[in-house]
Amino acid sequence: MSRGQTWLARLLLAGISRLVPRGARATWLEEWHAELWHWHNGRLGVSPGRPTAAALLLRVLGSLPHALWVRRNARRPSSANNDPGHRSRSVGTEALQSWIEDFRRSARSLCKSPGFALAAIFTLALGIGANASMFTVIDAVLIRALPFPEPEELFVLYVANSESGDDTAFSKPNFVDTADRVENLDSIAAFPAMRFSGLVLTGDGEPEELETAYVTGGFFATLDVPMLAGRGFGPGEDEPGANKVVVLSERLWRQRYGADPGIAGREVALEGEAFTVVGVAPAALELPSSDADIWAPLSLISTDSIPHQNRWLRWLIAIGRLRDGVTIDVARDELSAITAGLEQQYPEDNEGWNAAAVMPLKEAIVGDERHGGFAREPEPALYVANAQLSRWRLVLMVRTAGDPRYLANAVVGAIHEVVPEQPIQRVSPMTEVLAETVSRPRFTTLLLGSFAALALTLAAIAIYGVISYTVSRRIHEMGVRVALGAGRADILRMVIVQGVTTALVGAGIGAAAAVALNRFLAAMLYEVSVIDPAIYLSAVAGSLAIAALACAIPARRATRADPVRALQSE
Amino acid sequence: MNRGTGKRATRPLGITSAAILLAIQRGTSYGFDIIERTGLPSGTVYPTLGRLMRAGYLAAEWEDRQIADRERRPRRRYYDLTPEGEAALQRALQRVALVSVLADAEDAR
Repeated sequence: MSRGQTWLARLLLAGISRLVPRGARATWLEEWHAELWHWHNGRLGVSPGRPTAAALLLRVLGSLPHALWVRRNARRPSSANNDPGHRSRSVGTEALQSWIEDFRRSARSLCKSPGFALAAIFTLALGIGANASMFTVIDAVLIRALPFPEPEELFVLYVANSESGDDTAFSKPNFVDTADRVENLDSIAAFPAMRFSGLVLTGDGEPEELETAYVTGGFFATLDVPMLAGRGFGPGEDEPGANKVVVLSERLWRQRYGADPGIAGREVALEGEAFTVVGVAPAALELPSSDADIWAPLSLISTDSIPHQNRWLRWLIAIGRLRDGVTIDVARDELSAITAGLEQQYPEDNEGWNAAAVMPLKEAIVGDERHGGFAREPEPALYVANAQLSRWRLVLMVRTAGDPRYLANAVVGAIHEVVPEQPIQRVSPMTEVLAETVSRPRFTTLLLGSFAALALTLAAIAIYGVISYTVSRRIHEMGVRVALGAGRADILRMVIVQGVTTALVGAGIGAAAAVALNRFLAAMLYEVSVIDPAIYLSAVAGSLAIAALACAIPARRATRADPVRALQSE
Repeated sequence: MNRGTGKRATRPLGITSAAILLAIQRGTSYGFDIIERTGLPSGTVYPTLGRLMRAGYLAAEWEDRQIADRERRPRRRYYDLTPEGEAALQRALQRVALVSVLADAEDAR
């Protein structure tokens, strides 16, 4: 060894020797110095030349398991219980040692055929990585639940008619009075049941009408939305005079403001006036609508559009978050009492509306209308007379006794009889509308699901291949083990550990690849998180389960390893 | 075997332990020599030697320093089988021999 190598080896050994209890350290060091000396001199005898630094490092690292073993055993009394030839009372420790030994043996076995092992591991990594990525996207786009903390505490509140059983939305004065009086809700908020004209962005670049979600001051506090920057609206910011504030959507923030982290507090020009951006809401916030570019205080809706002070015009959907420890029944009773009080106080406007109904927010959202297409999450809806909002495009629905296509011309003729100049954009059967709406997402889901299934199958085949191959390589060794007395359980453990080791290596590489892939996907798709622990854990657990399954056939073969055959070939 | 009872139940030697005991019985006597003879890695051999010593199957003794100094090399730690180790190895070899007989019989057929 060169002087440098000797120095390096001694230093490393000295470091590892710190693991050995002091009483045994000198002996341990002396034995390992001798081992290295003999290795070096013996090696020179076989193949002249100095060992490489890597070979030396590997040799020195061989002392690590020994040091760990000495350390682990220092506190255990030397007795028959530690006898490798006897079942000890510390069966758990012995079993653990067997597993560790099997893991090491498996790693060595993989290293012996690196080309094959690498190919299998990378196929596996590809399968696991692709799965983790695909499920991250599927989860983000198709499955994810409400993105609010403790969503089970969130409810949609309705005013109910105890006689007819009908329920409806709140008028603004009734909402304000209810919010003032209620005690069993932590907070309460409201937003309109219909769409109002958006605010026009006038300052930066081209003027653009923004899809604007008008909400009351407590909206963000009620949902407890984790903001990407800044905050939601504070108390009083819904009041006229203090309401020149907006919250940006993640989409607008990224596209128009380059995800500026210092956006909160910045002024933007809307409708020619200066508004302060107080925060940025995450893309996952899809209330009141998934299309919202900005959230603005409800009081900004012009009184020309809707009379705010009218007590009988019920246009606000209210949501509330239960106070800790309060049951939904208690809150409903209190809300009913408040509504009954308001009926008595304002009988002309509230006659008959004397109770309250509540519905979990998730149910309310899913149970409502599907205006954005059948595949989209339904959004809360309220029916209003068409005459009130006549600027909207009108869709006329007709139920026919026979095939609707034969009646299309008759329907168009009937419309033109009433309004001759009325342009008609399109006449289609409902089945066609439905098919158009669902075909694309159905195809996307099918495609993503098929790729995920394919990747999973590839992963299973890869593990099966590598285990099968390694078992066939080790079948002789297993025969000898059986000849020496190894049991069926020992052989099974060996095979399973081999599979799990391969799967773990593949899972590690696959997870790293998935993180890289998701970084790329996150740049293109909203709501795709780079690291989603639940998905990664599921992918790793899934791959380990597949590894165990893929081991089944090779394991059966291994347990049948014939000791006679093994010794015949000796 | 007497698994699952409170009594000491004999468990067969592992392949590594058997290989090391056999190597020592055949005259190899110190760590590096055993590694060379068995082809097992040092990270396996030394802990196994430790386990076999704790089990009472092996005894170890450092050689006289003067001998090492005279030969200009580090001291060696020599390992030797105890009677218990010899018995355990014999049990393992008998099992192998039994299987070998079957193998030979099959070959002859």
